[in-house]
Amino acid sequence: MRGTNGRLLLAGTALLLSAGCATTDEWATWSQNPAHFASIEHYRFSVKNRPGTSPRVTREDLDAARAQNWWGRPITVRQEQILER
Amino acid sequence: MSARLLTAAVALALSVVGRAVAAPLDDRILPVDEYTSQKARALAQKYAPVLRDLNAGIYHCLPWLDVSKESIGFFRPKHLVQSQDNRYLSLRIFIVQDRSPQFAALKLEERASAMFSRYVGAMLRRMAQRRELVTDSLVDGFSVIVGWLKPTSQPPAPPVHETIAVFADRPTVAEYVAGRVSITALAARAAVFGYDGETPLGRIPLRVWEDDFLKTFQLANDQPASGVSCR
Repeated sequence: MRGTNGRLLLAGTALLLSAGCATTDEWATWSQNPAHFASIEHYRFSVKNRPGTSPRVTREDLDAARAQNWWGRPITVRQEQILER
Repeated sequence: MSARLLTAAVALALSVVGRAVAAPLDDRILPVDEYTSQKARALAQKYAPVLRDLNAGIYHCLPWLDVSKESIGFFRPKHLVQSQDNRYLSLRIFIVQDRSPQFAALKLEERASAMFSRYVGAMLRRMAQRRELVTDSLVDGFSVIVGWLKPTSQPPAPPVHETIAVFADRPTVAEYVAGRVSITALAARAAVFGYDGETPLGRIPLRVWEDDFLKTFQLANDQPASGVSCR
């Protein structure tokens, strides 16, 4: 009985630990993006707009997002490939 | 008295800051001294108010369109004969839109056709609002460059854009904005080039239609700045 309890405790602890741990890939992703929010503006926007509510987007939000590249620098055709000055 | 003055000063400062933040950036327009020809500089000076109005109109009334730095001006299309200084009034926009399974299911040519139908005609009408532009012989044509997120582009990889660059000569645009030429004829007469990220795809065949999305769509909860009217 005592042995069974001990095994159960061990198994439960192992399950909890493994559930709380990130995989190698997840750690790699996290290490590339260590902050959940890119900036204080990004944080304010996310706090202001909760899931399930109608988002309130202002010109300032859009400008801040674009200026800070919240979603990363895009791969796109360069203007010089199409046009000359 | 001084407290009231201080409050008024703070309120004034905040309103000035707010307006400054919400104003379109002038750097969206290529500065006059950046052009490589006198003809382009002359056009840029002559039509400076038109370029500013175009920039401001998109900024205030179509906030889901992103105009990058130095994306508005009188540029020379690279595909045209380089011995001639052809100057096209050009606008480059990026469409910020939600991901859509329907849009993603289309072929690139179909996505390009949809974007042309929705944005190119409407942008040409905005660009040619000053009728003088479509009669000025120094203006050789108009170009609209439209980009959007490639549907297969997923984080954590950097976003990839798909782009079409549309070039139409001035007489064609004049006829289109006057209603004498349909969007289908405009697409047939224009040169349309596609790009997948940085990779050129050459000329893209399009099947376009009249799309009145921009006349009817209203962004939820978006209020234009005071004093701005959007038609």
